Amino acid sequence: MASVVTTAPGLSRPAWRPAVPWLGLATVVAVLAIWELLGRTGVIPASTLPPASDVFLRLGELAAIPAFWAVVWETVSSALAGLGLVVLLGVPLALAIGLSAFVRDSTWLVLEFLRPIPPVAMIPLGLLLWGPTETMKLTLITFGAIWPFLVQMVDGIRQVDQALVDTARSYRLTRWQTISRIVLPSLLPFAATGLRVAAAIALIVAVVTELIGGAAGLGREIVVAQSSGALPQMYALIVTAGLLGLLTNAAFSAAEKPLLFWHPRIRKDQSS
Amino acid sequence: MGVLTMTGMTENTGAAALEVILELQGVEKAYGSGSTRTQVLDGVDFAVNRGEFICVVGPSGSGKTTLLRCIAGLMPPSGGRTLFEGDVVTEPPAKLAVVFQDYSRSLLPWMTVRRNIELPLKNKFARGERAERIEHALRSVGLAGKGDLYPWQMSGGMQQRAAIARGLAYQPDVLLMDEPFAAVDAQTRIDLEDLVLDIQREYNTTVLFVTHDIDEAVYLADRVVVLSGAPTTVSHEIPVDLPRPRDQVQTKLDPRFAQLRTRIFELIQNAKSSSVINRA
Amino acid sequence: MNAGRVLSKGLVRLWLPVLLVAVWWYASADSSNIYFPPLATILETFQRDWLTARALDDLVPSLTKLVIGFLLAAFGGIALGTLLGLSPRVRSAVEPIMQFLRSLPPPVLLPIGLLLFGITGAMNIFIIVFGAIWPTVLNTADGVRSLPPELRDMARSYRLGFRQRLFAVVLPNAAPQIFSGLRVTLQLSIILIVVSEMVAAVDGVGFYVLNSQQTFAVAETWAGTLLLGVIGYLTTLVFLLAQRRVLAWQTGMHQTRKA
Repeated sequence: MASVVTTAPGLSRPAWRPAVPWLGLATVVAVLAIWELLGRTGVIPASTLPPASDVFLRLGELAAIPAFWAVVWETVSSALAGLGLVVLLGVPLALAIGLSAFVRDSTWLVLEFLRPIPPVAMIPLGLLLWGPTETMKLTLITFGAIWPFLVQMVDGIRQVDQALVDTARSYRLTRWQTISRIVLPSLLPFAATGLRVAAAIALIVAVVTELIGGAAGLGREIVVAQSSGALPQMYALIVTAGLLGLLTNAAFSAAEKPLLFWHPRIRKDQSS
Repeated sequence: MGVLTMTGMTENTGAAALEVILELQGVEKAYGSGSTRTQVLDGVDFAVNRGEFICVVGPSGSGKTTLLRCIAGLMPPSGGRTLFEGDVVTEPPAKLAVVFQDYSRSLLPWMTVRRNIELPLKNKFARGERAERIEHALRSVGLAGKGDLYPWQMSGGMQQRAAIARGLAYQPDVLLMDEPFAAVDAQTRIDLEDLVLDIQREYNTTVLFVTHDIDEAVYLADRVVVLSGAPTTVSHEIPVDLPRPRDQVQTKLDPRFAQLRTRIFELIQNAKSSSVINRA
Repeated sequence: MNAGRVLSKGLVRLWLPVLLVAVWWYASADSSNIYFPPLATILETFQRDWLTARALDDLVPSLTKLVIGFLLAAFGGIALGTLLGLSPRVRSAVEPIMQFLRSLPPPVLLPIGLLLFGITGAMNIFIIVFGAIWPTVLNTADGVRSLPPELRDMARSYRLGFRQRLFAVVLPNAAPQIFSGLRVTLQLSIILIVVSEMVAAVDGVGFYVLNSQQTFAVAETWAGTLLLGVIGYLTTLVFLLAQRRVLAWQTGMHQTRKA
């Protein structure tokens, strides 16, 4: 329901089943065909947009080169490491904020001010302090991606159903049992939502630090390809970045299903 | 067959009070297809005269809501037809208003009650007339001065009054009500029943009222249409010859009231036991 | 809440920010580390560059492009999302392409924008619209699709016209979801205006900050970063105020339900 966006942890959007499955495929084919045609007939000069076939051929060639995968890994590994840091820092912070009114009130103003700062604003500062290094990348990724995770976790901790905790008390579960059997599973959907959004931001910040800061990775290769006029390569790398994004989304949906099978949203998806 | 009276073919009797306004002719509805096909309505026939108060009752699962949606033009029947003022219903008729069961969802929470009532009137009337109709309708349902509240600022009973006011201001020839009081408490329900009777007299509207409550049906109706179990047909039409105006105490003490409700109760029990679903 | 509690809550909320700023101020006061100039110097630079008429040269173009880009993305996103929400066929047709575009980290559109538009304001706006529109499109489509059947029946049986259905029923119902999409679109818009100015502009705040960094103007880099933070904060604040106004009914409804 639309009216509960403020409280319910939104998992991946409800599985949307296409009304006419082949239509999507047809559009993809049509778009590629038009792209090819525009390039071949010279309506759009190859110096702006090379034909689709050139781009995908180049992508195929790249896929055979180990160095290409090394570049992809640079980007992916920084994003993953950043996510790791997000969890390491985010969980204790969220626990402190969620459980203590004093900590919550004290940090409120600082967090409300830091949260909307665009992570890219820190790039020049990061470059100044650390240069185009892995440290710079990780710092910025963590700074940019921690907020959605933190916000979701604090929300989750505050919503962990009091009734569930009371149940635990009445059944005389130990503190550890309460946490491991009740608190953590209830937090999982919030963590999943927070991490999913954090992952998208981590990828964006990783690419930007490479694009602007010149740190090693996909972003830098895109700039290099562009400035050397290797357009098919540039477009092939951009397509790669898009596929990485798609893969991230898919990975999260795939992980949510078995982990959160009991969640109403997931159950609804499966029954519909 | 224990049919007491069959009405319907009455348009030639000459009396204005017996002009047929709504007529169902063999209305059928089935869901699904092939082996999963379920027949919900299996040829429903009855007619409603102008100015009449008709209650439709039936065992649960007898497709009352499906029937109402077919009449309202919200759903095409898979067989037969509905005539509204002589025309076949293919889409919601302009002179018909529906009061839905779930008032909390049929009123728009982002509009005040006044704007909720005004919304369907915008295509029909000029601003001045709209304002008049709205105030009149609000007064009729006892919500005078409450037009600027939002629905969620009101109790359930008040919300259903607002939904009724929306139907009234639309000034329909027929008001369809789908178990409108199913979700309110008993005291509010009694108030709302009398409200509907008053309104029907004041506006001289034709009311088709779907309910599962036999007492409510007998108390309100000129005639009760009893449905059979699924697949549904009309099992009986029972004229209610209780004097008007009705009164919660006097009417319900009338021995005739007890007779009628016992009769309808038995009919529904029979319908249940003969239902395909219960046999299965 | 009485005055005393308001005061104590205010104090609890203030002590940490005040402490942090104070620590920064005194710790950096005599700093000779060229990367960490004294806070006083940063604030002087901030005042000189951003609180005087000079600021108009960089600030106005950035904000203008941001606002135009965001509004285009917002209204375009709502329009496209509504179309997709109303027509399952259209949605089936564009779903795979749309999923790809929304998964694309938007800054990689920069080189394409440069090729198409060169270093122009149009290019900055193109990047915002194309990169930031998707959260609004998808949220609007989902919101439009989530119309409760009761409301659909109501709208049909009272014979509401298409415009009434759209503007009085469907879109208000989707509004909470649309707004959470718009908020992400706004965040992306800010990111993209900054990035695109860093890479391809000759004026604007993003250009100023990166240029300061590249010329080792340390205090200017800090001041510019501070300014970007303030812009991010204020824009979000304005957005939240607008949202609270538009969705007042929803807040009221939740509070009533809880009470």
